[in-house]
Order: sequence, then C-alpha cells, then structure tokens
Amino acid sequence: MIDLSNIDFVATTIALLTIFGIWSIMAISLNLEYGVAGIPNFGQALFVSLGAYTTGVMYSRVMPLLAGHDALDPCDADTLASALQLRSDIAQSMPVATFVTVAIALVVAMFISGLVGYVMSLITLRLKEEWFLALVLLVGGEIIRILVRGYKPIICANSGIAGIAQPFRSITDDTQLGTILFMVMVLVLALIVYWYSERLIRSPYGRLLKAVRENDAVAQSLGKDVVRIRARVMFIGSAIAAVAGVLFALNLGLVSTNDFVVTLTLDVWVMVVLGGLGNMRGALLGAAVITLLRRVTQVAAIQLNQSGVDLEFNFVRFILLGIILLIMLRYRPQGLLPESRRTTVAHDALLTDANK
Amino acid sequence: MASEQQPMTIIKPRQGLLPRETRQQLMRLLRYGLGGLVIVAIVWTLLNTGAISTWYGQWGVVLRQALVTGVLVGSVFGLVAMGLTLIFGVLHIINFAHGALLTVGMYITFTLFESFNVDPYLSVFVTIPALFILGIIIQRLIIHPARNAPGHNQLLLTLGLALFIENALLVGFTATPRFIRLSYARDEFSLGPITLDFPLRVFGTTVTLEKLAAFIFALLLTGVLYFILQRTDLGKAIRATAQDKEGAALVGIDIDRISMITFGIGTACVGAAAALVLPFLQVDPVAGNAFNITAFVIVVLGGMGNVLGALIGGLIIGLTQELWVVLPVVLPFPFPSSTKLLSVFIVFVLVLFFRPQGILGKK
Repeated sequence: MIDLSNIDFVATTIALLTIFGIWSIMAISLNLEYGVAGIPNFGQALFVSLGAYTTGVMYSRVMPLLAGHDALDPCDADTLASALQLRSDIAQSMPVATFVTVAIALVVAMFISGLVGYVMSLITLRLKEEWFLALVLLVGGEIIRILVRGYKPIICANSGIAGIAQPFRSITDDTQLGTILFMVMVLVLALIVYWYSERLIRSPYGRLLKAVRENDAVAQSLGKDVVRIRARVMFIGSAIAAVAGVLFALNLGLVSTNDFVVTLTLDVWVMVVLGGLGNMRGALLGAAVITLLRRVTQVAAIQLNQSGVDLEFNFVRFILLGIILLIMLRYRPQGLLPESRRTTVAHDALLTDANK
Repeated sequence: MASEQQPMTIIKPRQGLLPRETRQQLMRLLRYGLGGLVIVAIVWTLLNTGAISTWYGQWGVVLRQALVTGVLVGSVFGLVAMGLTLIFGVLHIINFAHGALLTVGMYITFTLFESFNVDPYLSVFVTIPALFILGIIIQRLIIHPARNAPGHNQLLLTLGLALFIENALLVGFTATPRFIRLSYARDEFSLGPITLDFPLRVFGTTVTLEKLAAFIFALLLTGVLYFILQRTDLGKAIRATAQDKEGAALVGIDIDRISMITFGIGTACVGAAAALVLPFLQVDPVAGNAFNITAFVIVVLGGMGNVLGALIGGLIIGLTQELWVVLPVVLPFPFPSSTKLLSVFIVFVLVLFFRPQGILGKK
C-alpha cells in the first residue's frame, strides 16, 4: 500500500508548481516553434542546457566579482570547497549581487541561445528539408552536452557546478518563504511568456508564421522571405527555452550535463502533442499533465522500491509516455485542446461584405 | 485505323557498366581524388625538405598508425551510416533508434558468445537476420501506422523507441559493461604461401586482427548492399521509391512492402556492424549512443539519403577522429588534447556552413 502520511503537502505543491512553471515555459517555446510556425525543433535539450550552463558560469565566475571577491577556480580540487562556500555565502547574504547575477544570466542566456537557434536554422532551413533541422539540433544538443562534460572551464566537466542557490534566499532566512517567492517568480515569468506568445500569435507576424506553416510556397510567392521568418521565430523560441534553462538550474541548485539528455526533448514534445499544437493553453495543460505524471511515477517508484519491488522508474515513465503518444496519435492527433480558429477585423468585414 | 498495330520497338537506353548516377558520383570522386593527389604530391615534396623531414621521421609512424586505424574503423562507421541513410532515403524518417538497435545487436553477439560459444564473426549470420526481422516488426508495428501522420510523430516514435530499448536493456543486462575477447587474436595464420602473424606489422604500424576483420567484412557487406541496390529488381524498386514514391506506386511497385524491406535492410546493417565491433569495443545499454551521433554526422556529411556518400563519410570521420587524437602529440606547437567527438563536431559545423547538402549531395 502506498503510504502518503509522510508527504509534506505544502512543500510538494510549491515544488510541483515551480516545476510546472519551468516546464510550461519550455512547452510554450516549442509550441511557438512547431505548433505555430511548423519548425520541428528537436533541440529543446540544447537550448535549455545553454541557459543552465550560462547560469553555472555566471554563478561561479561573475557573482564573486560582483560581490567584490576574487573568483576562485570552481573546479580545482584545492579551491573547490572554498569557492562553493563563497557562492553560497554571497547568495545568502548579498541580494544585489545575487539578483544582478540572475538578471545577467537571463539576458546572456537568452541572447546566446537565440543566436544559436537563429544561425542553425538559417543555415539548415535553406535546404527545404526541414527534418534536416530536427536532426541538426538533436545531434548538436547531444554533441555540446558531451563536449561540456569533457571540457573543464565551462562547468567543471563531469562534476558540474553546485551551490546555485535560489536568489530569494538572499533576502529572507525563512527557507519556505524563499521557495514560495521563487515559485512566484517562475510563475510570473511563465505568465509573461504565455502573454507574449499569445500576442505574437495574434499579431500579423503570427498570422504570417501560420501561413508559412500551412503552405510555404504560397507565402514565398507573395514575396515573403520564408527562411528568415522561420529563423526569427527560432530566435524567439530558443531564447524562451533558455529562460527555462536558467530557472531549471536555479531550482535544482546544480548544473550538470546529465540533466540535458534527449529525454528532456522527448518530454517537452509529448507535452505539446498531448496539449494541442498551436494552442498555448494546450501547452500549459500538457506541461501540467506530464509534470504530474513525472512526480507520480517518481513517488510510486520510491514507494515500490521501499516495499521491495525492484522496478526501474524511468522504464515505467517511458512506457507511459509511449502509450500516451500512440493513443494521441491514433485517436486525437490535434491534441486535447486543438488550435482555435482566429479571425481578424478585416476578415470579419470581408465576410459581412460578402453576405450583403 | 486503330486496329492496325505497329510492332513495338523497344529503344534500350545505352547502359554503361554502372548507372549514370553512380558514374556522375564517381566522376566527382575522381575530381576530388585528383585534387587529393596534388595535395599528397605537395606534402611529399615538403616531407623531403629539411625540418619537416626530421619531424616526419620522428612522428611518421604515429601518423601512419592513425591513418590505418581511421580507415579500418571508418568502414564500420560507414556501414552503420548506410543503414541510416537508406532508411531516410526511402521512408523519409530519421531513425533515432538506430544506435539502440546497434546495442541490441551487440548484446545478441555477446549472449551467443557467452552462452553458446559462437564466434562473433559467425554470429553475423544470426544478427543480420535477427535485426532484419526486428526492423520489419518495428516498421509494421510503430512506423507504418503513423505513415500518414505529420512527420514529427514518426520522429517522436523512434525517439521513444530508442529510450524504451535502452531502458529495457538496462533492466535485462544491467549497466555493467560487457566485452568479448578473441582467443585467436594473436595467432599465426597461414594462407598458402603467406603467413599472417597477428597483430600485423605494416609500414611500422600495427594492424590488429579484430579491426582488420571488421574492415574486410564491412567492405564486403557494403559491396553486397551496393550490388543489391544497383543490380537486383528489389534494389531498383528501392531506388525508385526513394526517388519518387508516387511514380514508383504508379508503375506497380508495392510501396508498403518496399518501405518495410528497406527498414529491415537498414537495421540489418547495424546488426552486422554490431557483431564486427564487439571484439574490440565493449557494450553497455547506452553504447549505441556514440555511434548514433557519429552516424548522423556521417549521413549529413555524405548527403542525406546517399549510400555511397555514407561510406565515404564514414571513412572521413574515422580518419578525422584518429588523426585528431594524435595531433597534440605530433604537432610541433602546443595543441590542446580533447575528445574524439570534438573533431566530429568540428566536421559537422564545417559541413553545415560550407556544404550543407553533403559532399555528394545535390543542391
């Protein structure tokens, strides 16, 4: 029997909402790229990881300088412990340095990630075969992960960078209040991203994206530079994914290459396919369902292991994800919340004119 | 007037020794080859001048060893990538489960060796049909039902399949790396008048039995595959489907059957490669991942869907990886040592920027 008595419901809810916020940012970014613009971005892990690595670098290299200390080498065995101590001390006592670091990390991560997305898609989308971009991004993400894992100066290779405290720890001693404030920050950022993407869809540019998705030949024949339009939405989407990466690192308190495997990409894709392509509310729903599924399988696996059943947690989750994909594909390929038809003022006027 | 039937004359197109497409590719290769020869000539002259000559005298063996190993290993890369590129050419899906299937093949070879003492080179006769059938089952059960769905679904399905296989292998075989070693890897073999004493010494380089056997088998299988594609009816049907699906269907080719068989052939390629690499590598549930990435880069390098390109791409990547590893040692100036994968990444980026359609691909 699953024992629920030792679960702290408040802490669990806070943790779940925080994770939901982070995943929904990723889902919205993919929904913008694939759902609205039809670009198969299989590099979610790549762009999220760029955000996380940037956070790692900022916390270990820039934050001590902002706080007026010398940056100790965070990887060297002699200075590792004191560098970690210094990071935690600053993050718990100096709000200005901490928040400035987080802000810099956000801006730099968005810029780097957006640029990578823009350049990669500009090169590959010229080749008509858009699955080529999917391949390039997926392979690129995995290669960069392996390179970072083997190259010390970025995030200390294999060991990663620990001690990335949540920024609100610096203004309050109450741990729970700190996590609540962080949750609020994540949800506010998710809300901003949601609002921004909704506006983007409704804008003329959003309609252009949908036109390119439906028929790029027609869009091209009307004089639109299809490749550039798509590359631009890749810049936006990748930058949003990097925001999720920064929050991911802050939430976990650790940057490690092990988190940014292909599995992450698959999770985000299942969210979008489940929720509904092209519908931002669908992306949120998908993120909520998959976040819950992750947590439930995680708890169930722990409980099962404690009661002596030897079952691999990931194994169960992937079977479930596979089943969800197959069922959605077979019976509801448009997702739980399908894309709604949007009309413009001009369109309505045209209709009334025609009906007169 | 309609009843009057003219005797039909069939105008046979002039058929050369090789199909036109292959001839063009070979001509292109010849051009590159001539360019290569010029470079070799320049290098040769340089090598005979003072300082460089001394440098080459010191490090020549290391360089030659890297070249030999690169070609030997590259042929196996080529075999894996050919399967991938074939599947892409006909089914237009990127099979992300390719590496995971390679791992399956390696575990089959390992189990056969451990439990039944089957020689890995003989187990090719088990792994090829086994992976062929497995490929057909996967195509029927997973890929085929999604054939009319948007492309991302098939991609997601192969991605999910790869994770499923990895986790299933993790449950079945645990994460412990397994390997097999050949008892006869250091024996002498006499083939008539020639006696081969392994490991062979060629121009001061060492050629191990395992890698030489992998090279020979890989080239042999590549030849067989190429023969099937170019000379048999099945191969013609496959190529026709790759060129134009609807056109092929119009002339009576059973597209579904060809898609199924092509997927099977593609996975059979990794079945063969799995048995060939196990004697000099080790296998764990994620062993195929490294191959997966390398194979994708090779497919991009050779031009997506281009079988000959995949073989050449494999050789290039094999050479690049091996040379990259020895560069920090042999270069007269400081050069940071790094993983082999960095060289693959550099090749990948260079191809993307300068020839995104691949070396043999058409714009």
